[in-house]
Order: sequence, then C-alpha cells, then structure tokens
Amino acid sequence: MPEDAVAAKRRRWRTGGGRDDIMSALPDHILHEVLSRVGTVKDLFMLAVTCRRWLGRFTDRAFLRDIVCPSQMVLLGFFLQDALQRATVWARDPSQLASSCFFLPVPGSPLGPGPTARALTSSLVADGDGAFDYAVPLGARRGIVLMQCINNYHGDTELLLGVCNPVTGERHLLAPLDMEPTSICAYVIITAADVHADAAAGRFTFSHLLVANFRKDIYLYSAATRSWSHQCVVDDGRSFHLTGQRSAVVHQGAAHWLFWSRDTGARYDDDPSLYKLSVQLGGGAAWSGQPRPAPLILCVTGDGKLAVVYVYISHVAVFACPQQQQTGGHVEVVAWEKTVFTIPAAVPYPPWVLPPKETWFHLSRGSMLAIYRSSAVFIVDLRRKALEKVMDCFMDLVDFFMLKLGGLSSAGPSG
Amino acid sequence: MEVDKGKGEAEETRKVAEADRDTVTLKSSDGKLFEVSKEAAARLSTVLAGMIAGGSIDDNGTDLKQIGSEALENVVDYCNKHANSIPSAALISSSISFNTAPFKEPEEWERKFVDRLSHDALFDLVEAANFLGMERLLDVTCHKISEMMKGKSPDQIREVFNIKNDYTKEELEEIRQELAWAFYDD
Repeated sequence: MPEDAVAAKRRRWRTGGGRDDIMSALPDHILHEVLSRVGTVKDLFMLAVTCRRWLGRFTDRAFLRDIVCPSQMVLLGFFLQDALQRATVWARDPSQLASSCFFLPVPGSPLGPGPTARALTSSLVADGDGAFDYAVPLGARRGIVLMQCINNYHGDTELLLGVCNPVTGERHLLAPLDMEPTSICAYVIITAADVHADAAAGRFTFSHLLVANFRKDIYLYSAATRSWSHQCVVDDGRSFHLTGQRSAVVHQGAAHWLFWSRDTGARYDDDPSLYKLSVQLGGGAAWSGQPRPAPLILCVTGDGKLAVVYVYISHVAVFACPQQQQTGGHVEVVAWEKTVFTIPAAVPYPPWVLPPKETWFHLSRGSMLAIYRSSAVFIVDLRRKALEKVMDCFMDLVDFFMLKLGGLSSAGPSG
Repeated sequence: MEVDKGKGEAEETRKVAEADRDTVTLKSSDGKLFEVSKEAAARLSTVLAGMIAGGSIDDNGTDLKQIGSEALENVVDYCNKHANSIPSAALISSSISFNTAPFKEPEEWERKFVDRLSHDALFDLVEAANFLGMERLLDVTCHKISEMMKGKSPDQIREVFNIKNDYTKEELEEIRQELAWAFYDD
C-alpha cells in the first residue's frame, strides 16, 4: 500500500475517537487467524449479528470455509438427555444406566465412536487411581458431564459420582454419598451462576449437585466444601414416579422435575396425575399439580416461562406454568395456559410404523430437538410454531451458519 | 579501474563490519530510529532475516515505511524481551482441549505485553507483525483479539470493536428470536 494511502487510512480511523470497526480493517488472512481461534460457534454468531457488514461476511460460504473448516474448530456433538426416558430404570447391568444420557457426535468429532470417545469416561475413571471399573454418563448441563463411577456394580454401597468437562479436561470427583447406587433417580448439575444470579462468569463453573433417590430423599453436594448435606425429604404420602428428564430443569432459583402421582386415597386403577416437584436451591421443596397424562417434556420457553410440552405424532401442545407460589409442600392445582399447534411429520411414516420413532430433547429456550431414527435432526420452535430440519445427522458448520444466518441477511432491506 | 576496485573493497569491508555488529537499526514511517538485536530480529521475523541475509540492511536505519513509530517500538520491545526470556514449561498446555488451534499458549510475559496495549496499538502491532512475517507475535496478538471477543453479547462486541449498529429495532428483535438458542444457555 502506498504511503499516502496508509496515512489517509489512519487519518480516517483517528477521526471521531477510535477507529470504526477495527476488526474489519484487518487483512483477510489475519481476520481468519483471529476468528479461527475464537473456538466457539456461539461467540462467532454474536459477532455475525453486530451489523449488516458482518452478517454479510458470515453468510459468505468462501469466508466461512476459511474460518470454520480448518481442524482448529470442531463441533463435538450434542449431549442429550432422552426426554421420554422412564425414570424407573431397572438396571440389571450397568450398560442400561448409560442409556439415560446420550451423546450424538457430529461426523469427524474427536468424541465420535472410537478410542477418543472412551477417553471421556476413562479420564474420570483414571482419576480414581484404579478404584473404579468404569464410569457412565448420567447427564450433562452447560458443558459439564455428570458421571457415575462404578466399582463393583452389585456390591457398591455408596454412590460415587464425578463431574468432568470434556473440552477443558477439568474433573471433580465427589465425596462418596451414603446411598444405594442403584436408587439414584433424579439429579441436576448447578453452576455458580444458578446460585448467584450476578455471577455470569460462573455459568459454566460446577458449584452444586442435587441428587434424589426413589425414597424421596434429596441430597445437596457443594463443590466448595466437598461435602454432602441432606436437603429434605419430600413425603406427603404420595407415590412418586419420575417422568421426563432425570436431569432437572433449573429455572428462577429452583430445580424442577415432573412426576406422575396418584392422589392420596385414589384407587390404583385411577389415572395418575402429573405433578411438578420444585426444589429451591436455597432449601425447601414444593409440589404443584397439572392433572393430565401424555408423553411430555419440561422446558423453559422463549419468554422465560416454565412449560410442559406434549409431543404427539401430528401436533404439539404447550402448557405454560403460571407464576409459581411457595406453598411449602402443599398441593396447588392451577390452570395452565395451553397452546396447540400442528407439526408436519418430520419424515413420512411408512404405513406399518405405528409409534413415532422420533426422540425428543429440550434444546434451549423455546426450542426442542427431535432426532428421527438417528438419521436426521429437526428443531421445533415453540414460539414460531415451526419445525425445521437442521441436519441429516451430519452437521457441516458452513451449512449451519448459512441455515441460521442466511434468512436474516436476505430478509433485511439492502444497504 | 583502480578506483572501482577500491570502492568494491570498501563496500566489502563495510558489509563485514555490519555483519559484525550485533544490532540492526530500523526506521519507522515517521523517521524514528530503533535498535534491535540482530539475532532476535533474524529469529523472530522472516522478513528481517531475509534482509539481513541478503545484505539489504541499512546502517543508517532500514526504512520500514509501512510501520508507524509506536508499532515499531512495540515490535522492537517484543524482540528484545523475547531474546531475554527463557522458554518455560507453560508452552505445553496440560489441559485436554479438542477445539483450540494447535497453538502454543502465550507465555505470561507475552500476555502482559499485549494486555498493556491500547486497542489501536494492538491492531497496529498485528499489522506490523504481519508485514514483518513475525509468526509468533502474530499468534500472540491474534490470540489476544480472539480473547476480546469471547463470551460477549453483540452489544459488548460492538462496544469493544467500535462497530456501528445499523439494524432497526424490529430487525434486532428478529435476530434475537431467530438466534434464541445462542443468546440463552438454558
């Protein structure tokens, strides 16, 4: 670049205090160096939507290929909890335990099938100095995976849990809990940001773990003190059958699970009702009821409400939970707000297939993920009431950017 | 003939003398002179190494018209610090990381070196490192810029990099809805 051109460029930058969009001024290959080091797709999306110029660049396939295709950035896959998982896992052998949490690696993922996938579990097992035979994943939240360590499956008398972050390699082996290992039925990973709302930086930091067993005992583990405390016993004479995810939904300072239950005095052949159990992170628990049977998912919608979603073959029903009241263990039956919309069949059903073959997952605010026969992934947006195909279980990052941002760039007025 | 031969010899002597010096003098676009260790310059910058090997180093200051004095001062500072630093074990990252570049983490002093720079100075330094073919300095500065982007909302990124928001309120709302999964973690 000729000297006066450089000087002119600098003068332009200097005016008005600070240069405009200093990143854009970088030569392309340096920009690629910077962006390929960012490491997360999410951070790149945040830059992509700052202004029209960046959106334009991030919807240019050639540009994307340069920043996302080098092996530096890899989408590993999704850790998913089967939303329709039955709580009562009569695990006769440990391989059945592993089914409560399931990992969908993207093609080429270092965590895909093969020796590296085993590195995930073996790293935690190795941490126990050979004390465990193996570890199985129970659930995952915010990049933290909860594992159950198994020593002697039929002979263990204490519950041994560990958490690890497969990306950073951090791991934390919890103190043993005096609880029969096979009786664990519900749990949730709590991060520092859940406990202190202002600790945004602690969003991915393991802080506490809530664990419940079939006998309705709830225990709380604190990473800071490395110890367990008995949080409460939820007992009002009700039968207790967890449904939906074993890993709770954390919303407004409480962990929520869904249960089937029969009212006290109800006959055994009466239809069970659905109840929400909410455990306050600071202590205390409450039931609230919504009598209705169907396959369901508990999630937080786009407008921040806790909702129960029922998925049928041709339609989806969303029941939004009214503002929760502290009733200290009392049952509260309130009307939930109902929305229903139809969804086209993700993939045509062959006539002889009766039950849906999709597996449903709660993805993030207001959206759910469906995997159809392990061959294609769809996202259902509850607010827009739309079903969208994301990938054929083969996610290409370039396609992913184009899919999510392409619509925005073509919809906006030009210039 | 005689004169020519003498001039050639003088040239030769001068080159030898220059080769003996252990520093080189660099001149910024605004005419300021900086001395830098020849060994460090040749090791860290492919462009300067080429100039030293090819004898195109000017004793009175090698002109680097593309680099301003502030950026050049930082380049020279980096070279001198690098010459004095002892490589530490921190170069080998202990954590298992699947999604970061095969890039050696900046050392503590390198972090401090880029942390004290203003945004403008940092971006000038990136360009200078690029121009001089200084791979390691380019690594360290690009790493710093990528760190500045991480974990921020679009608003925070706009503020950091001085990006003008040219969307309408309606468009911003559309983006928020479309990318709700990226904006929230639940």
